[in-house]
Amino acid sequence: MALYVAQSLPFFQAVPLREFLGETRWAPIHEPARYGILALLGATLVITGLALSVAVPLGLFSAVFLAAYAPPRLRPVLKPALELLAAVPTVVYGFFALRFVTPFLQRFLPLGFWNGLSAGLVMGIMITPYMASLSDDVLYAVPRSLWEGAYALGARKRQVVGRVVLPAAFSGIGAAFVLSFTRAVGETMIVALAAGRTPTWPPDPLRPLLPMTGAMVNIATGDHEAGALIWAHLFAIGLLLFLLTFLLNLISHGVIRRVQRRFA
Amino acid sequence: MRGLRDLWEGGLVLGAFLALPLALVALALMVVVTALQVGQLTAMDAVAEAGLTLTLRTLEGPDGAPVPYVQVAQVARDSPAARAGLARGDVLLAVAGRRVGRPLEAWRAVEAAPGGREIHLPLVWLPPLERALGTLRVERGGSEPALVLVAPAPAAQAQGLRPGDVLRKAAGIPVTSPRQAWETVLLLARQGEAPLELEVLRAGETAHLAFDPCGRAELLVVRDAWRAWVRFLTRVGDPRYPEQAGLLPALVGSLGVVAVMAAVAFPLGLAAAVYLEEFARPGRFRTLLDILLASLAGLPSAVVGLLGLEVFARGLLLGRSILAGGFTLAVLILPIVAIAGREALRTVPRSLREAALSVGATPGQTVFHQVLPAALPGLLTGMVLALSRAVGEAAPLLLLGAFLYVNYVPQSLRDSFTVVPIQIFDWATRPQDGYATVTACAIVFLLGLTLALNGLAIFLRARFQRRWAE
Amino acid sequence: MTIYWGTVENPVLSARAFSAWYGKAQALRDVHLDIPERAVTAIIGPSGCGKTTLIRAMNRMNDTVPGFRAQGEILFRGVNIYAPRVDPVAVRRRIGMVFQKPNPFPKSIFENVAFGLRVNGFRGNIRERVEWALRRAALWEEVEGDLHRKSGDELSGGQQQRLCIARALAVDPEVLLMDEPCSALDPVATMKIEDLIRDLVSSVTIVIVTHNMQQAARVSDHIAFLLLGELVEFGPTREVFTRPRDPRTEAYITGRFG
Repeated sequence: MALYVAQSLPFFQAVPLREFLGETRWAPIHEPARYGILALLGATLVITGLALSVAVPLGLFSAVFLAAYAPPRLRPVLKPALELLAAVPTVVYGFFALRFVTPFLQRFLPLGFWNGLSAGLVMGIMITPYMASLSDDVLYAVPRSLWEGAYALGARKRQVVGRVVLPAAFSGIGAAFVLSFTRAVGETMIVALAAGRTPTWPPDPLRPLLPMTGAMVNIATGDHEAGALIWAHLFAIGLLLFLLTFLLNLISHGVIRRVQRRFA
Repeated sequence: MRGLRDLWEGGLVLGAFLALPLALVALALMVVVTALQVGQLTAMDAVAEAGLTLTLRTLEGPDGAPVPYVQVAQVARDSPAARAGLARGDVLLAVAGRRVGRPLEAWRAVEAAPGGREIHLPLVWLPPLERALGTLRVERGGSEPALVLVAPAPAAQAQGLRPGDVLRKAAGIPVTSPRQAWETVLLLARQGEAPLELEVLRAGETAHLAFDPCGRAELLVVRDAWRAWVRFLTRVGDPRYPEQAGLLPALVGSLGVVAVMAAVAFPLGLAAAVYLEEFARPGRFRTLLDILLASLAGLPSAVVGLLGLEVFARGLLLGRSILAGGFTLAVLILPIVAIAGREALRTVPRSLREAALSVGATPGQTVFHQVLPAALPGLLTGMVLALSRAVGEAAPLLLLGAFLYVNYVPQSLRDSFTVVPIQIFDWATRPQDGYATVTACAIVFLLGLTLALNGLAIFLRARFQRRWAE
Repeated sequence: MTIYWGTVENPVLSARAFSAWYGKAQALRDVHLDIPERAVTAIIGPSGCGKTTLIRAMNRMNDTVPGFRAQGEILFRGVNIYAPRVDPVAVRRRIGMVFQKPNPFPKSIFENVAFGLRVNGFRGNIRERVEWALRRAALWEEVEGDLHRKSGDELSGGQQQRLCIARALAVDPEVLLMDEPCSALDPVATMKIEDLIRDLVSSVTIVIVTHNMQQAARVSDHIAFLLLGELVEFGPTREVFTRPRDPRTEAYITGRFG
């Protein structure tokens, strides 16, 4: 942590904070260099938003299926299968997004070769098993007594699930959501392959988008002289990313602990 | 109001039933589509082994649109292709009866050609100008520049062309320069019109000749999927041509990096797990460590990569080496190992520890002799899963500076390197024909490895999970 | 006030003004107790009275429970085992324990018994010692052919408990603490262990916690009755059972509570 701050310091000394936070153009190797992070942040948020809008419903409903409707014999098969899916390396998703999803979508939409939509959608598919597994754990942890109490009152299964169990698991699912959010924000390879290398502002998913992680890859794989401001900038972006994810992790873990205590 | 609620609940059920299969289908689709590319690898290997390396070129067509064609970039010496008469610069026109305009189509034709392992592939090609027609010289003087065939090629001569002929038209199209002449012939040949009619001026008289500039022969190719794979995996590869791409540098790099990572992360992570679970007193300090560990485990891999860059590559002056890469991955994986280790240790019931203590074992002896062996299946599972994760990581190493172009096998831990996922990343970004196939094959390999490791973990868990009589 | 039926000469274990807490809850109050050597002393009382706490305090097993606090002394041959510099591991080598639920190691029968020897740096012949311990625990004949082949958890409940006894005996402790050793076993197995206890007492002092009064009557020489953390009455078994001096003891023995 300290490392990050130390390394970013030269950057913050050279470029005023206002520009970093407020400027919408990002072009660190142009003359004059522009270090505005808004374009990067915006891209991160748009792609993450797309991904989550796919992953959350898909993942949550899968979890509901697994926890409530799947026959018990199926569970020891499906749960490892879910974990298997979550273990697929993300480069694979990136390739798929670039080579298959983008051309497919281009038939219906005016999409650039590099665009945020493919990246976002595919990222959503990637996160789905993760969200599903987490949500399933949360739902499974809701004590049986709650289910039985509802059944005993004559409720049908979908009412039990929809009105009793889900609300009870709400904060746990919220934590799962936050963790999935963190995962999406930090994902690098899918966007590096499919989203592009140039930022667009305002962030338009039909055009190339460069999120923070993508920018980091961009800088790191380029050839820059040692000691150039751009290295410090790299760390500044990293610092922001680090702070963001660290904070989100703390929040979600705090929530999870609270949920566990409630149901202990 | 009731109706809306019911709708919501009904939707919940429907959604639940659909979502999981939907997600599974999407993923299965991905895998299948990728796997289908593998057949092409065989074709590419077959062609490359026959001595032919192909590349894509374009020229401007009559209406301005670019027309692609396949040019032979290299012909290996003493190869079947050389023996068949092919040489560098030839333009491949048809394979097994199918017209081809890009290397991808050529390979597809090879893949689709009927027959078994060894086939004789009929090829049609257009040699470059020198060999198709001969030496042409532009002579000025007179009303227009004249294209004089100074020394016709043997093939041209055999078809009736003589030295001194002035080339006027090809299939009715006037020719103005050697380059344009050849391009015209190429365009015509691409459209399949052969022989073409040449109009020449000979000794003042116009003559028409039927001319077939193409070379034709049968090429012996061997389509061996197994061999294609083995070559792919054990070759260092030529970064210029996808037919000659090899995964070996990436494989060795991956092996080295993962080995270093395991050597560091596994003992340390295990020690941390044992300390936290067995020796640390519950209290604020331990809770703090718990939270810290969980947060570290949740850090994006990119962030860790940057850390590795600073601390290992620059700080410890390790440079962009396998050692630095291994250490960086270790930082990423260590919290995961520690957390998994704790879970495994937690499954061992308290009664076991008490039994050991009651005969006078020290806490250390208890842990070492009883708890750890009992937790072993869980620990192993955790380690295998960590390996699987490490093999697939690209982002941290990219940021560290693993090179994208490594076409040598790293020899020592201090060498620069690349790993399989990064190699995939590199190949995936190349637009040339054939790279999609190569990328897909590397992906198939990586997925196979991931599947095998995860499968092993699942097997370990199922087989050796002790059901403690509670 | 505790009622004592006479004093114990040369007690092997003694509690002196011993109190214990788990966090804020007090489990034992000011217990004074002498355990006579080479005899079976049974600790009885209703659930929650502190008997398990007391017996586990005798070999410092309570140290493993977070939040445990002790005050007072427990003397083993005159030495306070709760003194600051005393190593609990050394204590447990001489005071062994058998638990309520049999907890053999997931290892072979041989290794189960040998474990204590190995961690204590036993220098003699391990094989002989293992056989000796298994004979003392009346298990040898049933397992002698399967020492290395069978795992501890493949035995029946009663056999497992005897294995645990053998394991504890292998290091030749002077005292054997038994925390409700038969409560998880069937009557036949229980009977075998009760016979075993009577056989062992000639060489080992035994302290046994039990909630089964018939068992206490069958097996023990002395009775200590605990109620709500206090030692109410201590004396020879026959006397305490036939003519209990404290009304609370009488009430418990006649089954009016607990």
